Amino acid sequence: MKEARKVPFLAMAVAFSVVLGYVELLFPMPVAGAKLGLANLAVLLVLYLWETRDAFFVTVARVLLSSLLFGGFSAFWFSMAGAVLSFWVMVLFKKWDVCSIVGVSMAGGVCHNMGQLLVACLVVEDIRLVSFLPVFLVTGLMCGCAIGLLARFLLPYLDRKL
Amino acid sequence: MKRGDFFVAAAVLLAAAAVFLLTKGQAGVWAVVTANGQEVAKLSLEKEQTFVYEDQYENRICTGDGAVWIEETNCPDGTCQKSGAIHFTGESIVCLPNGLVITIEGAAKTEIDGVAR
Repeated sequence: MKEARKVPFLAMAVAFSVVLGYVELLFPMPVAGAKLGLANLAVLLVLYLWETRDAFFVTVARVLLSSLLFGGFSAFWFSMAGAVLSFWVMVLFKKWDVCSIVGVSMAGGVCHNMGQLLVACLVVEDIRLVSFLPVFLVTGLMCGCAIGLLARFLLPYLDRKL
Repeated sequence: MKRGDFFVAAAVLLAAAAVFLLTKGQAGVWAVVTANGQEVAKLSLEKEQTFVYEDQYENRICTGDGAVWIEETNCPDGTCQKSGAIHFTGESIVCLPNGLVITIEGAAKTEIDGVAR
């Protein structure tokens, strides 16, 4: 697709993921701090529809916008760490090509939570936070799986329309 | 779905189980309150008491019945209050906006501390 045509679609993807990020806040999570990762759906779709750098743009723009709108400065670093880590892991898993979109999404979900926990460890200077890791890993896996299945279902329709 | 998907899922679940088994604790004796890496209070879990930590925000920390919990806080996300009560060594409550961590210490460690004192 031509660059100029891609711009509105990327803008739509960013808007979509910001809205999903807001919707996600309305879901109560069993563990304080764990995330559903709905916003990852948009990133995942862009990653499969277009190129890595487009998806990276969507990731960074999403984190910037949603931190400005709903979060604070500390929320920004948490989201950024989680989002960027999960993004590069997804790129890696996609290149590696042993997983379908579901596996890529699961890896992304898990790493998103891990990135957030890592920053949390740094902020409070206490490595004992790793006791939260199992819950974060499992919730990340389940949410990543759900998002991945959703993306797999959506992808053929979008591919045809764009 | 490819084979790799199941491999990813299995690896993550294994890692989660391993970390869980490694960090699983026993009933605790002390609640140690740490702020920005420095210990500010050590509260007995058996005694019913309230400790208020104040920095940028305020956390009202309560103990009793072998547990510690955050009764009230005015930090923006309130995650620490939502985490509820903790009972076992290795568990912790974190208030990121205030840089506060509450961990639980067990009997073994307090014995050593007792001797030192």
